[in-house]
Amino acid sequence: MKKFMETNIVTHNLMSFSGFKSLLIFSMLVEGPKTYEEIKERIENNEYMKETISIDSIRIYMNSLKKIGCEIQRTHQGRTVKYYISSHPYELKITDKQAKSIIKVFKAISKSIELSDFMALHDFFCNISKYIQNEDLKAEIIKLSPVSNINMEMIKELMQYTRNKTEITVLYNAKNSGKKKEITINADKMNIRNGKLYLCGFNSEYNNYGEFLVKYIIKIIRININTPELKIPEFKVIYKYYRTDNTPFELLNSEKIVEQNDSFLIVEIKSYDKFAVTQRILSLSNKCKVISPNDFKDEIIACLKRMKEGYIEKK
Amino acid sequence: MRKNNSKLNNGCLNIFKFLEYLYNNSADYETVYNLFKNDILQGNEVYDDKKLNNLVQVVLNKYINALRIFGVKIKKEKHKFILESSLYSIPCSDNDIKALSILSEASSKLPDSSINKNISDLLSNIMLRLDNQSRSALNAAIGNYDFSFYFTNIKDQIEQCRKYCNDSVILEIAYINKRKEEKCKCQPKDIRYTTKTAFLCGYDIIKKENIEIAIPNIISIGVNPRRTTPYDNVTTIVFKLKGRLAKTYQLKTNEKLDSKTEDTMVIINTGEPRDKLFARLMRYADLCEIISPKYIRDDMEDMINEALNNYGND
Repeated sequence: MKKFMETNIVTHNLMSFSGFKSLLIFSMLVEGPKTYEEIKERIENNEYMKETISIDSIRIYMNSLKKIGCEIQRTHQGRTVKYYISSHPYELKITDKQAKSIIKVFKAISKSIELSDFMALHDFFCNISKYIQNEDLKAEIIKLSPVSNINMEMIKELMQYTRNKTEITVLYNAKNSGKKKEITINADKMNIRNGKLYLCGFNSEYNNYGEFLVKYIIKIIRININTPELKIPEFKVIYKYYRTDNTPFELLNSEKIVEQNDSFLIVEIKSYDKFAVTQRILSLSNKCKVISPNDFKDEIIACLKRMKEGYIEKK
Repeated sequence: MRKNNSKLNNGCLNIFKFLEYLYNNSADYETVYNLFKNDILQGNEVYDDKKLNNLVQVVLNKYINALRIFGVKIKKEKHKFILESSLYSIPCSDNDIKALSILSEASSKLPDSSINKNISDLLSNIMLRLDNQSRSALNAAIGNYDFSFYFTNIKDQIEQCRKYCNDSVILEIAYINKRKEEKCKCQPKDIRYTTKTAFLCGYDIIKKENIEIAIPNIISIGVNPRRTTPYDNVTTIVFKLKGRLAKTYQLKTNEKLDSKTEDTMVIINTGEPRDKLFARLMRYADLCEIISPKYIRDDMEDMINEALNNYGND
């Protein structure tokens, strides 16, 4: 080896030529389809080999590669036959345990990472899925991220519009009416809730702030650059959260604790989206009481009464 | 070097067998020595031990040199050959590097040694197959994320619960629920992590339903050493959705559609822990109603009444 380092000349005493040729043929076939002649030429011109090889010998090497577990495929380009390795025993293999751990870690952090992180993770999941043997886990990992099945370029574009608070018109697949319709939104932010990606913004047509599932946005039709800046009214609610156990309270980004003791928290939530606030309050159910504003408190009470009636009627 | 038969090349078989040991991290010196010794002994010549040993060493060095000249880095450590770079490299984008650093950092903070090991093994296997540039970029990126707020104060309890899940025992758990102490007998199944805490997921063998108990709420755990067979007789809850929700609702993985009209949808939900399901169904407000079983319908009604009672005479 020392001599090689000095002279860069390889002899049969220094290395296994058949081992080296095997590595060359393997890497050429992993790289892409090659004819026998191309393999022969590359070996004969290799700086360390400089010896001839017959096509019969190449066949023997390829048979040996098959024997060790390489899948060698044939492909025809006109009358030319080329060979390549479609899979081999040294490929990355992601075990079931590793795939399940990825899913667990993802679920643990999914409420505390940003949209760009989701996009990176989704890209990564798609890239590694081919190394996962278990088909169910493969499918689960590909669908794990809230950005799966959504056009990444459109997400990037929407992120840009939300940064600049731009008014855009989109073609939206409204599941409620079953029709495709144009919606104009003053893009405010992107939000991930319950594993789904939403575009949030002020809808000038209905004069309200809303969330729109990004997967239902078919395309962006117009960008209304000259729209005057909208002053969207912010909705502020104060509620009391009763501590009935030791579970840490999960504060949303839009919330802050204004007072607390051992038995309750007073939480302020600020949002442009009244619907999202209503859902938050309802999901906290019997652990929560709205303190202000009064009209919103009345709406929550009325909603709870309607829910109660639904159960009484059937008795 | 002799050939196995007219269609195979022994040099090729040997170098790739050696690589297989290296990739599986099982290339201890004795295994590799035997590989080449057996190959030499396939001939008719007889060698004394010293000559054989020298010959194996010479042949082995030739193969190691072939790999080194080809660009594969190998080091020898504690009587074992270790692969330091791969025979080929896999493509790695900036997003892949970002994702790997997120997973690595987050898993290292989860108090679950098996998750930590699984992700760490995966990372090593990927790292081995990266080109030098990607490997340096990944090494530089690890540590850019901070998930250190995770579960530091309940780490020991989580690890203990994880062991119970692996041991398939029956647990008698006392825990706090609505300011009262409650008890349950359950078969632990798994740990679920959220942003703020971790839950012990299991099957309540008295109520015959899946449960999730926030680990900080657990007061005590009694272990029944009797090993169990898995229970799968979980409660099925049927609920009805109305109005716009019936048109837009997408079934979850644990749900089946029972029936559908223009304005309603009846859904069969199996195995979703009740607290989680109730919180979700409450969000649907008056567009949702639990149909059966009756005792769960009654529990939902009680929950709505309790929420209303919070407002007293307001």
